[in-house]
Amino acid sequence: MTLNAWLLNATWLLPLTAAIALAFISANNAQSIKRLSVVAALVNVVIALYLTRAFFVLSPTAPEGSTRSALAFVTQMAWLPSLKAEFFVGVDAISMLLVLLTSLIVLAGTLASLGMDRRVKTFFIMLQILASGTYGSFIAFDLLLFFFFNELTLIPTFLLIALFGSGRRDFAAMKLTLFLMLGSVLVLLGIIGLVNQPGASGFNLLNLSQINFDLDFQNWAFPVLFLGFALLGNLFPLHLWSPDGHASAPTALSMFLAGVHMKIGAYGCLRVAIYLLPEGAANWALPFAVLAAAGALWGGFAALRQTDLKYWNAYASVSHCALIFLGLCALNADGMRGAVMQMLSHGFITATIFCAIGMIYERTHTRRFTDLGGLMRSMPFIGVILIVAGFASLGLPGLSGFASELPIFLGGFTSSVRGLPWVTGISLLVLVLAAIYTLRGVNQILHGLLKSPVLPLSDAVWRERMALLILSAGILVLGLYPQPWAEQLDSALRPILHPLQRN
Amino acid sequence: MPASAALPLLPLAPDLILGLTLLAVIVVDALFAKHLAIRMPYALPALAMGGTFISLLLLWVSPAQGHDYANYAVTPMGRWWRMAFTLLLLGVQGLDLFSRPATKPRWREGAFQALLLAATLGMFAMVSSREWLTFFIGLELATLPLLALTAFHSQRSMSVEAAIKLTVFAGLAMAFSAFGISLLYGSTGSLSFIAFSQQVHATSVVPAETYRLLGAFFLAGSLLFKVAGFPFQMWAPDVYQGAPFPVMAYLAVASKAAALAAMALLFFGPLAYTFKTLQSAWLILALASQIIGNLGAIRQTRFSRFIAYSSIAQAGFFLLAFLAPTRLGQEALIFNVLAYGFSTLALFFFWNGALKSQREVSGGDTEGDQDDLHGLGGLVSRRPDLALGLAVTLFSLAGIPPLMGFMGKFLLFNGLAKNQHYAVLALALANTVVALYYYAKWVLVAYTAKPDVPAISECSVTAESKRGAEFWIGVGLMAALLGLGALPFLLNALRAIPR
Repeated sequence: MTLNAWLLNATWLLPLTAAIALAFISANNAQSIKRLSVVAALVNVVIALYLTRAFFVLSPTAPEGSTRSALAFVTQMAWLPSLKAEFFVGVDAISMLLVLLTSLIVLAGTLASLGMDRRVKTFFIMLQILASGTYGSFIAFDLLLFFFFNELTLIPTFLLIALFGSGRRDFAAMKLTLFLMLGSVLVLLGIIGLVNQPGASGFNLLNLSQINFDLDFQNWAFPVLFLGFALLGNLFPLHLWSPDGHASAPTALSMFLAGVHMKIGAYGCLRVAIYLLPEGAANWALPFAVLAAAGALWGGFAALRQTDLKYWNAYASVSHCALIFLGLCALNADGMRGAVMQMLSHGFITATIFCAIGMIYERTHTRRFTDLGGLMRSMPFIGVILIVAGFASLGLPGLSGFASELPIFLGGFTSSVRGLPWVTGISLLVLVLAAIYTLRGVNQILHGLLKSPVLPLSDAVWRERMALLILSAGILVLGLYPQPWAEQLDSALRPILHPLQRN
Repeated sequence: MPASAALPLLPLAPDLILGLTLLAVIVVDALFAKHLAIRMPYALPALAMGGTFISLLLLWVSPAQGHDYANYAVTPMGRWWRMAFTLLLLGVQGLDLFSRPATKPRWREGAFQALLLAATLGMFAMVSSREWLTFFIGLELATLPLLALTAFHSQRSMSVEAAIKLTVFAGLAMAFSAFGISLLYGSTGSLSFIAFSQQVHATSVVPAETYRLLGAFFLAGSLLFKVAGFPFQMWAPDVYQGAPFPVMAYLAVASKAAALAAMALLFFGPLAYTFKTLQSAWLILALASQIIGNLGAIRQTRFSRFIAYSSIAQAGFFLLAFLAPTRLGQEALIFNVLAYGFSTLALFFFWNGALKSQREVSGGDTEGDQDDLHGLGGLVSRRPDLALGLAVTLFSLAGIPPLMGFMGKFLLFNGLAKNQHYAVLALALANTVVALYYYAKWVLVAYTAKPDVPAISECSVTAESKRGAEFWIGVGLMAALLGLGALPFLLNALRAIPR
């Protein structure tokens, strides 16, 4: 195995090793626990950046007309031979960028949580296991392995909300876990169906992509798989778990859930449902696009009515994540590229906003709009970051939101799926809604008279500044210079698009 | 050495060792009971465990092929079932050691150990049978000791009541199996399985076919009772509640394993002709068991009844194996029995630990309710290792990867898909979501609820200073549940069983 392949495995092994190492540190030694967590997250970021650069140098490209994704840094060994499941791990551009996103958000989340004072050990162990499962999900190209990694994230999420959440955390934890389990179960049904089809041998994703599945099978398997993943990816009407879940979760978990974890759902829709079942995708694209448009508008309108900062951002996430699905359902190059870029962009944006909200809550002990005002005067750093993220959220050119939403809408209008241009036209309203709820929200808490239950207020300390800067850098880079990323994504999407464009 | 002259005893050695251990325990108990009770109270359990362990070792090193002794056969699958039985017996005996009150020796210790060994011997006989009478004797031997074991706390009326209930149901089940076997014998004129299968293929005269189907139905009913599946699951909650703690564990894991082994032996063997006819029956029975078990477990707050309902639901999943292709179904059953057995025994182990820690903090009060699951409240602040163990075992039972319980369920689901039972698969998956609720609920209680006894919340984490045998056994159990689920060892071994 090459060095890069080892490093790729290190992305998911390192957090697990860190979790085991943390288990041996005494629970009273909060200092060491926090230090080790930051170091682990930092090393992961370094590895992810190094691998991203190596990937860009390598630029694996699938041959013209091939439906087999070209992967880099591959590790392929036997895992469960009696089930024909392999340990097959690698990256293409989509996976690589999502791994990078994950590493940055984990680092930012860890930095933002360093102010924690009780049950520190459990918190950081769970966070590391969560990170490991997410890294694994993005790099696994064997369906069973992908499922294992995905499920690995279920228990830490459950425990983190139950132990460290706010509000009705027991209820939110149980609701989130049961909903996510429902999604997993639908995915499992689809996966078991896929591997037991005639011609399918084993769980290897690339091998399965070469099989032309029976149309009847595709017509039931695609919606089952898509719905299962879409539940995780926050598509209306399966988004019901997310507002309560995000609002009740501790800051780092909200950042992680909304920023990365939900992207596993959209990623699964792309990588498993659309990639393996193209005819099914063509048949079912319109209904799911309608759901996506409905979700975008629903999220937007709901965000307008929220009185709690976290619910405001949670519904904004519902709205933005719905756009990802709109892009995927366009089934063309522009739409899908936009969808993947929206995954990254929204990840950065929502993580930034949740991070900032968390910092505001730590200082003012309230999340209600009516209790806050004029915070720009006392917390200018946080305020500016919040404005940048807010503008990115509403799609200001120059920031990542525009760079990702433009291709989605373009793809929607030029899509060959019948009816999609109309659906896209209707969903354009989301831009107006985003502007309204973002500007209102940000204005209300940042400007006007200084109002807060707790005074005086301090601005961000260095570690919080680092966290916010890391995420904002992502927003800026993606927005100001999306070209190299877009090119890589295009070449990664080509094998996926090929059978779709054939129809 | 002429191979055909002497009867090869080596494949039979595990059974013989178990039988000799049983006799040894009885003899030692008869001769030295009073002496041992005072001086060496752990002598008899040690003897029993030692014999079981040797039997397990012999099974491990015995050749995979086994040997056919005409009416008794050690088959490759039978060897794995025996290993499962001895492992579960060892687990129950170990649990017994950890859960017995340290102060006074058990009344009739020898009888207790001997009954456990006898039941296991009966299970050995059941999976080795090559004809109906051996099977019936094995089934009886596997069930009757449980009646006495359930009544072991003869001073408590609940124990005796549970035993009487079990006797009534067990008697009914015995009658069913006797009816069934006599019908099957009558329809073919032979007791041996091989002759039976030959007759089934040869003749298809209508009265004989009807009798064969009826016989299979009766036998299925008898074994459904033993596995506590719908429609014979009513006895489980009451009997589990009344039985002594280690007996409850044995009923929950080993007795079920025996029933599943017997069903696998029969319905993948001589009774395989019923496959098509009984498919819809297995389907309905499996789904009904899952639903009833789930509904019952959701509202349960008593540990024993919770285990009972959870095991009814699990039995529902195991019954799905009979809808799968033969080989996959057998492998899935053995894997599931091991996964469920490990997980449940681990659950008993950690629950026992939780009870002990509760007793320690409340000042040795043993009169309190030993059965209330709410006693788990705040466990994470008293014993975080136990809370983690509980979380791992409960999630393994719920079927969350990468734990062993998931792999077991996955094998069952894969088997269903191979025979195109997608609707059943969807319903079974829906039931797993419901099951997750009641398993996750108690993890939540262990991690977040306020502890019952106020003094506990001031207690600092003392688990780090108590790294005794219990701690390391707990770690070992968690590692086993994680390792055997995510790594291929057990799966490869099962796939390597010769046909």
